Amino acid sequence: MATQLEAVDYIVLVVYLGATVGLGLWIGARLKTGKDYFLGGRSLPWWAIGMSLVATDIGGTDIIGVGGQSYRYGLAVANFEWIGCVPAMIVGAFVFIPIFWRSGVYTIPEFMERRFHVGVRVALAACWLLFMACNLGIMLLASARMLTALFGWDSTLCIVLTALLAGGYTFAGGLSAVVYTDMIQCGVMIAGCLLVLVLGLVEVGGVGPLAQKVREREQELRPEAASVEEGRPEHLRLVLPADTRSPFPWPGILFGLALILSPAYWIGNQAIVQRSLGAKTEFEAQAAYVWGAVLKNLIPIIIAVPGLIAFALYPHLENGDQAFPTLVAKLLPGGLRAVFLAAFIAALMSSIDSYLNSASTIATRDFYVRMRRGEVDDRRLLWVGRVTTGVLSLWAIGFAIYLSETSEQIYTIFQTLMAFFQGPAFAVILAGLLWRRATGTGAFVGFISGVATAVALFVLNHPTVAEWLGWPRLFQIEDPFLYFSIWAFLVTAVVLAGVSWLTPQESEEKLALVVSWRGSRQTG
Amino acid sequence: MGLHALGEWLRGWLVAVPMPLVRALFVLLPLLLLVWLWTLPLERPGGATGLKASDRPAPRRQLRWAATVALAFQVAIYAWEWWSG
Repeated sequence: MATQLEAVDYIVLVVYLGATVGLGLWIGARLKTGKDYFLGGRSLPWWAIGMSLVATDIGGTDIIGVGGQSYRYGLAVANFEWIGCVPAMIVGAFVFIPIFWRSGVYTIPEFMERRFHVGVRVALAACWLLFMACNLGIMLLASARMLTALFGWDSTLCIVLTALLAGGYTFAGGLSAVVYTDMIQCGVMIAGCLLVLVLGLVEVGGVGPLAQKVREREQELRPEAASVEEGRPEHLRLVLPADTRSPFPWPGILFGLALILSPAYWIGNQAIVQRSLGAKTEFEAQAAYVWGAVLKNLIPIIIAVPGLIAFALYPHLENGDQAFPTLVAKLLPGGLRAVFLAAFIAALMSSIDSYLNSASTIATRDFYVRMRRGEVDDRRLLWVGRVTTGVLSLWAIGFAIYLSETSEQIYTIFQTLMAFFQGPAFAVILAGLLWRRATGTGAFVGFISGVATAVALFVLNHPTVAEWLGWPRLFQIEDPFLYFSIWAFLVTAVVLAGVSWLTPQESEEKLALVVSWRGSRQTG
Repeated sequence: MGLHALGEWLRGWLVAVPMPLVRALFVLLPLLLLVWLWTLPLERPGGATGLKASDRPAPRRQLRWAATVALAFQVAIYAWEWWSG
């Protein structure tokens, strides 16, 4: 069922999109060098970076997807925003971001070359570039499908328009355009989702009646659920048992998400870290992360709770992903629907622009500049960065259209495969920054072993392969990517440690990048 | 098969962990971070210039307070989950 938009909705939308793209182009006209393009001239303020971090993390599909999972499984999905973000952001702010910022690098792989050697840099940069390039296509396709489902718009047209709009201002304005437009998009996203939350709570009668109705609905739909977990339905639980039916068992959330995937994302993801590298000062880089963490605490309230409201009000939806669109269609009057649509498009564009900019930075800095051994004029870098952004935008359009014509299974496999190297990459970063004995050979062999482990687990757990081999599946839950990440991280850590012990320690120049816990700038 | 036996053993062990203890672990993670944050020495005014990458973490006072707010919210949320269990 497509949501009907009125003329006023379209006017609000066009004005919003025009303002966003206009701001990006205006910033672009003031850029002069590659440093301006990739790091915002190292002049970005903490408040803009913090909001950009949140906007980048929340994609358009996340708003619909988190609402949908909250509808299907309950509040446990909020862990991805709470324990799955805030602790890692705080540790990042005080331990890792200052080191990256002080070193003056443009990318995390560049930092890894300084700590280890060029092999580690190339392996990490290749994985990140592949991940980002594929993810751009996937984000475009997933968002286009959402727009088609929500408003009945043509999918291919949505792919092309989104890529051209986000690609256009990213092409022109680089990181500064991304960060300042993200800041506006973060505000619009929060406003749109808050509107749905408030109107939903009014409709359901408040927080108390919402909890009561959720209990009643779960009793109606799954009478056996009342016996799960001491009589309290899973929909109102944050921490679920290891044998839960949902994809969020506590070991996966605590060990896979909170301790591995989340730090890997907030400390090792170029698209996230790059904006902090563009901060004015080390303090601003840290403050951005802390400000982002404060904002992150609010996100589940505005995107997960509406899923519960939809569960309470409309418990018989065919698909959980209809939860948010149903609330919009039923509760928001014409004109206000554009606010939600703008929020959805804001979330979508704020992720695409960041990945475009970061993929362009890796391609330019870790491959083009590295192959020329750094001898590239800074003004030429601006040109190369823009060309790379343009090429990546066109690639993303083509890849998204290709994916839309292939089977759903290929799309899902791509999405899962791309998450495989984050655990190994995090183990390498962690060892590089915290362990003096870690060597480049150890990091390289450990990383490759970890990625190979994740791929092997995925293949062995695949139903077709398991059936062919006559084995039962390795993991019981539906989508065990959190467990893949735990094993991939552990294998990387063990192999890295073993090979490092067998190889000579790195030079003192490289070890200067390892965090010292006995430094000298404290006042007590 | 060895992998499956290991998986089943691990799963059985994880299922057997009492949920109140599990919920306490979720409270403990942000709480330990909060304690760690307050054990860090504060940065000297103007101390962020000319630092080596390896210098130890030392937050400014206002940043430590802001981070405390973010972590205290986490502790409160998971403590509520634990308490209402």
